[in-house]
Amino acid sequence: MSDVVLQQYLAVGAILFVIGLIGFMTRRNLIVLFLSTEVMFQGVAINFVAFSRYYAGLDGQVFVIFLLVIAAAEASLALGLIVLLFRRRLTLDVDAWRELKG
Amino acid sequence: MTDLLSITIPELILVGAACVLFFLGCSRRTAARGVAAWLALGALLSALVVSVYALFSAVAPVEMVSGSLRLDNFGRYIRVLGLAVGVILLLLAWPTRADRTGNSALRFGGDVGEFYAMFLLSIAGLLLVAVADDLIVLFMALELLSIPTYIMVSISRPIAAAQEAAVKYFFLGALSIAVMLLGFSYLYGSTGQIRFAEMSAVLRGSMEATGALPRWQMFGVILVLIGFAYKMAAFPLHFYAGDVYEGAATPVTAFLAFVPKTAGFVALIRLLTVVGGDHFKLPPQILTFLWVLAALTMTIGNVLALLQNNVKRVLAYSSVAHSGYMLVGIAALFPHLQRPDPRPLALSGVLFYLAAYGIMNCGVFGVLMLLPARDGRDDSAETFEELAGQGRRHLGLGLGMAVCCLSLIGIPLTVGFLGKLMLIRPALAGGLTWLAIILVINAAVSATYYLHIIGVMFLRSEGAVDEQGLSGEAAMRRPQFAVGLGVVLSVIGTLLFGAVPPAAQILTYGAELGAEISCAQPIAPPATGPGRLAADSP
Amino acid sequence: MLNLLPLAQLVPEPQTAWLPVVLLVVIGLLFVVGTLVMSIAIGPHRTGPGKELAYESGMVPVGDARQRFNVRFYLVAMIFLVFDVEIVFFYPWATIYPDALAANSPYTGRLLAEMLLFAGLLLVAYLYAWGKGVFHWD
Repeated sequence: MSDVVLQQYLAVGAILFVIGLIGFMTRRNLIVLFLSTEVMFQGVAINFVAFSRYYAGLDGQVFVIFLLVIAAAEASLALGLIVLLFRRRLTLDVDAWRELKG
Repeated sequence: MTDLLSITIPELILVGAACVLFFLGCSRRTAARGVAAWLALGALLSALVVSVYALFSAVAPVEMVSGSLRLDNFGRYIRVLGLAVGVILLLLAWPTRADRTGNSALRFGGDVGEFYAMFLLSIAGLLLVAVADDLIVLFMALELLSIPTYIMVSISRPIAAAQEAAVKYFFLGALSIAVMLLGFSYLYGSTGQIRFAEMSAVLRGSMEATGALPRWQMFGVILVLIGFAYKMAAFPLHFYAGDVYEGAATPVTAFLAFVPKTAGFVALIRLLTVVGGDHFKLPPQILTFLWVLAALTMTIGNVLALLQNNVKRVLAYSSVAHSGYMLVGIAALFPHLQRPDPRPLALSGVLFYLAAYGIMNCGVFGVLMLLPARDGRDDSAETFEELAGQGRRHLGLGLGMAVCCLSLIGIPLTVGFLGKLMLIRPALAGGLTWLAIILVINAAVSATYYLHIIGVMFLRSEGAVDEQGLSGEAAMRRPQFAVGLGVVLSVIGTLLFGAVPPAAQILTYGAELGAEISCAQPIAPPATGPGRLAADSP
Repeated sequence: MLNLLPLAQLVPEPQTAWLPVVLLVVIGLLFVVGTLVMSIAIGPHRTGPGKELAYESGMVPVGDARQRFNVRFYLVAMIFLVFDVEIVFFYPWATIYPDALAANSPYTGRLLAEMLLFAGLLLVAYLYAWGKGVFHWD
């Protein structure tokens, strides 16, 4: 893989990460917030795979496998936490929280 | 060189016990819930015995064959520290109710087995962070540490505040992990290595060649530092502390104030070894970054703590400030101006302070747990009104709180004083005079709110005791030997390690042993050029 | 990475390599726009209660589409999510284990033990979910 192609992949990874970051900062819905963190993770995963290919090693790909598993574990955890909160509040809007001010 | 099993005995004990605890969690019987706590305690104690033996017997670092784990004295010390404080934390979380569904502050209902399983898994994660020797294991260990804490916060109390705290903690944690991972990817990309040994060789090579890190390597390091700041509750990502610490049940708060924070510092120290090698020859930008981080963290933490009404929030932001104090020691790792090398002193100072903070912190939160809530909630005391006059009513608890608070300020004859001393000395020796001055000023500011806590407990008169207050008293009268034992242990530890020279010397010796951190030498020639994959694949 | 695509191997020039993709996009767009325009232009325009239904000449809709799913669904979804992803670890192991067997590697036993340990841990999670009654549907 040439340097130019690597840069293109890195650009895609960085753009995904920034999209996720902006979504995380601006959205108010918990599910969308969670999607945003997943988008950030995928941006990182693209970086790793691209670097892995660039160096023609397997380390980055191995990292991505673990990354995906962690992302799945976090997804199920997020679903659980959100369902718990939803049953209590009947909304997924972040602004509806009044218990903790800070 | 050794294999996976012999290097990870304490972790295996904890994870094995956690598996059994999950099965106990399926049972609905009271006896099973009682057994769960004892099983967790047994696992922690046996892992502690193994680790103490390892700390004082072995000297040379051991590596796993494939080089993913590396156990040096630093890792051995962190193991002992994490497990010892873990025992006290477990005592605070002991199910003292008759039906074993929690204690005065903790109400996990039927999820006792799960709670202790999460507890053990999280501590196992902390121990693994200390021995991780490549990016993958470090990442997995940090996640093993974090994911259980989110669940612990959520199931610790059946109230909305706890669940909101868990969601908040989880989302900001996911954000910080994402930032950290981005840093990891750039570190991997700019060095081409995933193992710390080879990565360190590349980083130090570029440092020696140009005197600075290339842009991408520097960017990666800074991103990872920011990601770790969340775990440490340090400046850029500290703001969650108040809400999360308030929402979680008090024993879980004590857990959050120690375990993730320690893991953050351990990971940070490990990263700095990778960047600067055994002698922490860090680039000046990183030193400046750490300097600013330390100054801002302690100042912001203390200012925010001054503004709070809720004692748990005060302690949350004071925990931010304590992270700042420890960052002073981290900033002093860099042998500034090449005076008598303050490095081992600085590192052992940080390790000593971690232990000191863990001990006194448990004491403060334990006393809060034992004091009754005023409005009839079956919970720990949380506001200053609830603390008012309780020091005179329960003299022992009041004195315990006073000792721990004085130690947190850093008054002589307590372990907190020795800890601050061991942070200030290397800072002065390393030429960080201003940072040391900021630290002292901050310690003085922190005295305001710590003394306020003590003053409220002893000087302010109790509010009118109403019927609900009496029901709170009823909760108080249930014997909570385990929690009391935890408090007594922390108070004794605070005084013993601070005022009795031989005990203090043992802890100092342990911290100095732990300061023997080293970065592995590359085992394989680095830089597998492009084409390896093509050769491997058919 | 791109040169893994068989298409790219057939057509070495990067500019021409993208030609089929461009063609596909153009044809796709033309088809969509074309059918929409055609149906507006030559289709009959009638309306009525039957035409307003969600499924014309299909099932009669019952209730609101935004129904709450049973919570069980989420539990099973979560469990599926976790176990599903673990498969990804079996695959690399399965590719190296036969090689190790064939080469009489001294690590064969350890490889097997590691995978058994991993599967055992998964089994713990499965039994836990079972014990918690996640698989009871009523």
